[in-house]
Parts: sequence; structure tokens; C-alpha cells
Amino acid sequence: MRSLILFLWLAPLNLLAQYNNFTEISDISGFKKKFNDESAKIKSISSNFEQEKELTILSEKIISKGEFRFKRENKIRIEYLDPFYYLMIINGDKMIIKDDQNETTMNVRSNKLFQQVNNIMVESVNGTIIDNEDFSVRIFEDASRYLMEMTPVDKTLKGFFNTILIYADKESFSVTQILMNESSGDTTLIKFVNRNLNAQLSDEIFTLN
Amino acid sequence: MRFLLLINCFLLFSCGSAYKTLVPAEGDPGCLQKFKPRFTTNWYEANVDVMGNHISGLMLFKLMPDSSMRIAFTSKSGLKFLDFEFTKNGQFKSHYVIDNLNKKVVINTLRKDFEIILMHSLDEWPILSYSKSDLYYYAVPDPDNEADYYVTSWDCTNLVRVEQGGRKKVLEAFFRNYDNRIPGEITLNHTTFNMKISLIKLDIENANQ
Repeated sequence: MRSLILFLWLAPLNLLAQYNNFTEISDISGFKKKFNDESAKIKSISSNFEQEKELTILSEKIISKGEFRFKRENKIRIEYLDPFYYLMIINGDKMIIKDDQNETTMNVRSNKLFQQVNNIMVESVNGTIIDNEDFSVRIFEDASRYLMEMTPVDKTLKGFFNTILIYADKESFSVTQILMNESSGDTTLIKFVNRNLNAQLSDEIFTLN
Repeated sequence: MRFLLLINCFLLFSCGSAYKTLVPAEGDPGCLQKFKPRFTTNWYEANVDVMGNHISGLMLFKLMPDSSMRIAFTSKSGLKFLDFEFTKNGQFKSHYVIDNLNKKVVINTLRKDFEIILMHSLDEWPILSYSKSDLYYYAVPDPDNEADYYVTSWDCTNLVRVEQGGRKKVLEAFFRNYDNRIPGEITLNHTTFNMKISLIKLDIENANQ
């Protein structure tokens, strides 16, 4: 009984600690419309990124850096440059993966998991992930950011993630960081830095030709 | 147990074995200890090719305070594939495996491969010495009528390769570019089915600053 009381007492504190200074937005449908409308104005994103992967139980983390490109509707280029090379291109239904040794092209529709991962990546940056039915969503805000807490409802995604937290800039409605809380207890934080919105990007960078 | 191993030694080097042409020789198995990787916290870029599929990622070898060795394999975009442990006494424990890899045959194959990488058999007894041409073969038999063969130059200054086999060779491993007793490159080739693991050590000090 004491444990239960302690748990009930600590649970809201835990939530507050997790999203410090953020308050929940109750009008989700109003936010969705506004977010969709405003993020639709972003035709392209050109940005650097820093990815921090933390193996929580092992108290170990590795930081990797690279370049990120997005072009509406559904073109993404993620290029890891340091400390390894790895290129991932999403162009519609096609996903291309290239590293030092190999090059793979696949149709994401051929595999449900690939399609779900593809959708998460594309929809995170084009602003439509809050409509993704594989997740339940809660929205929070602080003075300068929105925080979208995405909780998987799909069984496959539940096996990988507890939550995906997407932080977006209130002024531009563009995503500034993504925190993936994995089911294994590990985390992956991707921060987008030096963001350049609506720059001219050629279609060719979303191919391997 | 030791008697059984000696019986296995006889069977291994009798007719029909890929190693029947080895000639008993006087050698010093203690010279092999300098080739045993002394992992502390080491990240490798990993490429795994198995049955026509290619998986690339990052592999961490971490010596824990209790002297156990943890091995974690993640995708380059951050998702953890597996987290294995070898205790100080060499006992194997699987802490985490994603569903797609969570099959007994996969885990057993990887466990054996990691035992080769960690050179666990160098802690076993007996280690028998043989020669062939100008190479020394140090054989560590196991109860399954197979043995790990550490193939060195005649003066034991160079570890040419590690082989595993009984009647025929089933695996060969190469350890190259040692720096402070840590291999810069490790390659494992399974010879009875199509599987290759390639590890290249990452210098991540700059990335983590």
C-alpha cells in the first residue's frame, strides 16, 4: 500500500521532470491543423545534425555527425560523415542505403517495418506525423518550442520504441530535435543545427546517380 | 573431462581431418597471449553479410567493472540489435536481442563468433603445438570434436589467422593492425555457409569531445 501511494505520488513528478517547463496543450485538433498548415510552408530543409546514441545500461554513448536534407513531399537525405560514413536516401517509396562497402536499394512498401520507419522519418520533418495512426500523441509547449510525445500503438513499433519525442521551433514549426526512447532503455537524440529552411535543393541529391 | 579432450585430439588429427597433415612440434602456446584482444571500451564499424543480406552498424566491446565483457551491436542510425555478456568466467548471457534476430541458431552462431573474437579458448587446456610448412598451429580442442587453431609465423611474432574446424574448416578469422593490444581490423569468414563479419575500429575520441 505504501509503495502504491509512493508510486502515485511520484508519477506526476516524474512526468514534470521529463518535460520540465512544458505544459500540455489540450486542443490537439486545433494544434494539428495549425501545425500542418504552418509546416506545409517548409518546402525544404538543409541542416547539419548531431546524433547521440546512449547505451543506458552500459553508461556508454557515441556521437555521430552529418548532413540532413529534406525536400517536400517525401525526399530525405541523411548522410553520416563522422566518425563513419553512411548514407540513407528516402525518395518516395524507394530507400537507398550506402556505406563504405555496400549499396542497397529497396522498396519500402515491400516490408511493413521499413514502411513504418520511412513514414516516421518523412512525417517527422514534413509535419504530418501527428496524424500517423501508428501513434497516440500528446502535445506540450514551452516559451519557444512544441513537444510532440508520440507513443506507439502499433505492436511492431512498440517492440522498438516506448516514445518518440519531437521538438519543433514555435516560430518556424520546423523540427529541431528528435529523441527516441527505445524499449530496450536506450536513447537516440538527433539535434538539427544550422538549419536552413526553403533553400533551393536539386532533386539529384536524392538519387545515387 | 581432460581425458575426453585428449581423445578428441586424437580423433581430430587422425585420418579424414582437414588438419591431418599437421606435424606435432615443440611450441610455446604462451606466446599467443599477446594476440588476445584487451578490449576496454572500443567501438567498431561492423559489416555483417549473411545469406545475401547486408547489415551495417556499430559494435561496442566494453569491459565492465566486474570484469565481464559486454558486446552491443546497434544500427548506425541508433537502434540496438543486441546486447550480449560474457562473464568473467566466460559464461554467456543474452541481455537483449531484437525480435528479428531472436532465434537460437542466430544467437549460438554469434556467441561462437564472439568467443573467437575474444579468443576465449586461449584460457583452455590443453593447447597443442603443430607445424606445417613454416607456420605453427596451436590447437585448442573442444568437446564437439572441433578445435580452434591459432596459426602463427614460426617465431610467433605474427598471428596469421585463427581457424575453427574438425573434419573440415568451418571458420577463419583475421586480426590485423594491432595497436596497444587492440586489433584495428577483425574479419570472420564462415566457410560452410555464407556469412562474413567485418569489424574496423573507430577512432571516436574526437567525436565525443
